Amino acid sequence: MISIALLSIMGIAAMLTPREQWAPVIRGLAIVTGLAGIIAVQMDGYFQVFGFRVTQLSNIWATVIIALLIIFLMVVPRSQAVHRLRNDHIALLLFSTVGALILARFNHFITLFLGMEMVSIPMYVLAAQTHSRRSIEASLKYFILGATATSIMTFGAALWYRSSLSFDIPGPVVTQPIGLIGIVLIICALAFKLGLAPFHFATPDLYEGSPTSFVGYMSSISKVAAAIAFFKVGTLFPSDSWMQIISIFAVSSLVVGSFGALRQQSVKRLMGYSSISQAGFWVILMFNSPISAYFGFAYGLASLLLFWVIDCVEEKTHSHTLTGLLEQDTLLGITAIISLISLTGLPPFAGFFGKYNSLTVVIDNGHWRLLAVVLAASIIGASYYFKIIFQIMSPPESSCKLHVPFLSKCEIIKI
Amino acid sequence: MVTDTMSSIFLYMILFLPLTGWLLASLLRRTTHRIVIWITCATVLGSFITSLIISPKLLDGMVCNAKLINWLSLPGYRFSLGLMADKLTLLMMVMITGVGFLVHMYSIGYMADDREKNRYFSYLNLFIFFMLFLVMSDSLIGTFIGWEGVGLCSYLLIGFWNTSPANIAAASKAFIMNRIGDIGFMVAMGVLLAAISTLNYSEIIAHLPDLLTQPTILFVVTLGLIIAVAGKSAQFPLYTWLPDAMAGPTPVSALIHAATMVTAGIYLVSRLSVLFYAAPYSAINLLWMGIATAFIGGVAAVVQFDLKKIFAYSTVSQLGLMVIALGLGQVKFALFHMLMHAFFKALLFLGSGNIIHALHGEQDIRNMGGLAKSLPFTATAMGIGALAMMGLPPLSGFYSKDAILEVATHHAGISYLLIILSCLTVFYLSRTLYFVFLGTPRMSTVTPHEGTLSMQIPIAILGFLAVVGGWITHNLFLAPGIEISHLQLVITSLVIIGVIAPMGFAWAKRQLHDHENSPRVWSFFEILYDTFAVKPYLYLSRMLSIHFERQVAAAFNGFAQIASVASWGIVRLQTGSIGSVVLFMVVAIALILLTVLGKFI
Repeated sequence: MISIALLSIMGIAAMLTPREQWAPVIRGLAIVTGLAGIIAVQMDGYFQVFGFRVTQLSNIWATVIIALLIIFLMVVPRSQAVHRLRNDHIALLLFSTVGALILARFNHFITLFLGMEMVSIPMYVLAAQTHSRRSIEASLKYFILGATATSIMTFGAALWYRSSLSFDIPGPVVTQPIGLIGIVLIICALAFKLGLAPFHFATPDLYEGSPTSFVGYMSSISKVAAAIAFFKVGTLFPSDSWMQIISIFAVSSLVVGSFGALRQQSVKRLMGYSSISQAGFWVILMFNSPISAYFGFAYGLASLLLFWVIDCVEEKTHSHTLTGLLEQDTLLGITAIISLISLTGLPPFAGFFGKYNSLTVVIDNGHWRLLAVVLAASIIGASYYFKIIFQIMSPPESSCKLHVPFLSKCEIIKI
Repeated sequence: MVTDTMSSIFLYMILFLPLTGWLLASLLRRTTHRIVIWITCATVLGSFITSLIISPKLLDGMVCNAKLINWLSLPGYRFSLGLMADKLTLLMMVMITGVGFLVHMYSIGYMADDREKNRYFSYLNLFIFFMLFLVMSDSLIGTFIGWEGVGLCSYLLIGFWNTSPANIAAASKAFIMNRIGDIGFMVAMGVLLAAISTLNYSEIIAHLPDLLTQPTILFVVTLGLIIAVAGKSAQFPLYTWLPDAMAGPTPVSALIHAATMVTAGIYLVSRLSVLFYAAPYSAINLLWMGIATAFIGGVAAVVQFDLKKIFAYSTVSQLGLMVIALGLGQVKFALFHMLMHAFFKALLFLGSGNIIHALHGEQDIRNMGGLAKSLPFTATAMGIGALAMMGLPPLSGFYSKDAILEVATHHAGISYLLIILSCLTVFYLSRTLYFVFLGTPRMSTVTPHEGTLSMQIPIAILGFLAVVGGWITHNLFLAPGIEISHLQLVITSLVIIGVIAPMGFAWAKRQLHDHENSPRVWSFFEILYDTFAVKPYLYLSRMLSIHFERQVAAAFNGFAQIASVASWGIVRLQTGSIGSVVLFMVVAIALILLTVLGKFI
């Protein structure tokens, strides 16, 4: 709990610091606080107070979250639009992270609600920071849909309470229909936060419209937080219903994400759809949480780095096409290629183990139809990730747009 | 089994110094050549010295182990990579790093005018790392990683001068031919994994009693490995890539395509020799494969006019001889010959590098001649190398070759085959020497001169080893139990050399006399391969591309079209209007509720 307190105090301090010149100092302090937070997490024993339950698993989650925050703060956000990281940006990021930490440890609906809103509300603000029409539209849409989701969640909680007379998560497994309706509503709201189809509609717009620096944060830390909540609420379901829910979300996300990404022109929007597909893989892992923590870190890190690269490119060239990046800036190019290969799920990199474990879960449980979808999604995923890699490695002078006609023959054979 | 920290550290140093060299060289690609050359040479030398430091321990019969990583664990299987060093590994390590260092040093002079020196040296270091990994791994899987790695480096270095399409074609050919062998390797690994669920060398050997009860599995495993050996060590059906591999820089041919990489197959068989000798038919397969290879290589070398290709075919032939020794059950003799071959063949290649360097890229021996006068040092060195290879007592080749010959006398017909083979060797070598060094100069304009000091020192060292190497090391390989009747063999060798060498000279003279009349001499086997392998292959691939590949492509395009339509539909869903999105969400929730609560209705 010391880590939550530390980050909150740091957030308040950042918010109250009047001078903009101090922003680099504040950022440095935030990184130091994060490191202290990680140490504090390691020193926390396992205990339980009202609303919170600290276990080994929750500590792993908390470490992942803070580690991602530190990495995010270290790779400088430098969007054109957000000329530099301001004090209040840092404060918002810290508050949002505190929300994520709460989500790592909640054992009560009230703390779930609190954490979820603490993660989300700073996102609404950060999404609008470009002050462009697109950015404000994305933020507003995300806000309205987010509010809808929250209200659905609250309504679901009421129904759930009526049947089980308890707000404990994990609590007794719900079997009555009325309670089941309640937790399905909660799960649907959380699926929205995680960006799962069919509740994915805000995601592509959000990824495209928001300042690129913050998309890195949204695609990593807030996703990890939502995934934890999703997993924990899932323990309330009877196991057969839980499997049904997971299959529905996994199949629809994999289909929507993969096919949606296939025709996108802009890297950011493509990554939006790809995040839906990745969430599909992730949700399959919800049977087995420690692995899903690992997946969270692998995925979060890869997309954080990729958005950092896009951000750097945007700053230099005022556009986010990555064509010819490898020749112009070898380091950025290699980083992007490694992130993309990791997202594709090829062996030497972290992403492989995540995908490998999802496949194992599916095979062990014998869901052969789901397996077919997962495999198809992986193949299509490879095709669009490799399209970006191809662009990065192609020579800069051929200023071909992100996408030539459409999946030309050679591309699909390359898979 | 020893895992003490000191020897682990030594093993890590031996393995990772060249890798560090490669990393630094790649990172400092843009800096001056001098730094890169220093780094790469120093790391390989360091690796060599470390191997020497650890050698007394290993010669005492100790086996050192060092852990690397747990690579992958699947239910029932664990693949961990580790290092292991014993006498066999020591031999390979010393040979790889020693010859490797000499070739690095030689390359400083040879590649002096090349603008991409840094790339060249970094590839060389990467090659040495992978080759060391191949021989130091404690499991087949690690060896396979090294096996693929050296294949890659060989590809990169054959095609090093990548502006000429012919070089790239040669590089691709080497790579593809090796892939055929790799399939054998992978099949062997798969079968072994299915049978005893381990690929660790010591565990495989511990499981030998189990395997002995399943001769079919043992046969398939060894057959797969023999195919792999045929690919990497250029044996009979798959040897054709090696002569083409001469497109690379000459020092590379000396290091990779004569002394080290092509001996990987010999190493593999030696490492698992108990498996090969326990399996039905494997030894005899090796024996016949070796005989076929040795003869094809020897015959082809007789009719070649390209200096490097002569030595390439000669390498093929000598590798065949090593495989014959393996087939006869004499692992030690095969290794002995491998080491001696590394000395004299590297010497011959570096010598021909000198000649090619002096003649500015000329490789056709018909355009040489009389070079003994202008290049006396190279002529002496190559003369020594050739004599060692012919088996003149007491040079290095005599010990190893005649040890094999001695064993063969117990196998009636084979000893005669080997004597014929020796005659062939003497014949093509003397022919080559006549063409290059004797007679009248036939060069167009250039005045040849010897290379720099950094090119001469490695040649001098190798020449020294080619002379005394056999005498120094023969006690290590020839067990005291086996008596070699020296006198008889000495006489045989002298007679062979005395009789055949003049014949070689005479034939060379005659060829020179009428070489204007026959512009291109086709080797019998080239014609054979062209009619029976290359043309049918091209025909098959053309037919496949016309009838099959288009269908496949059409099928793929069909999938792509379906994906495209689906993608269009999904993107259409994204209308951007909040009202419709919320409506959609509500419908989705209703549907999910219906699915989950279906059982209550």
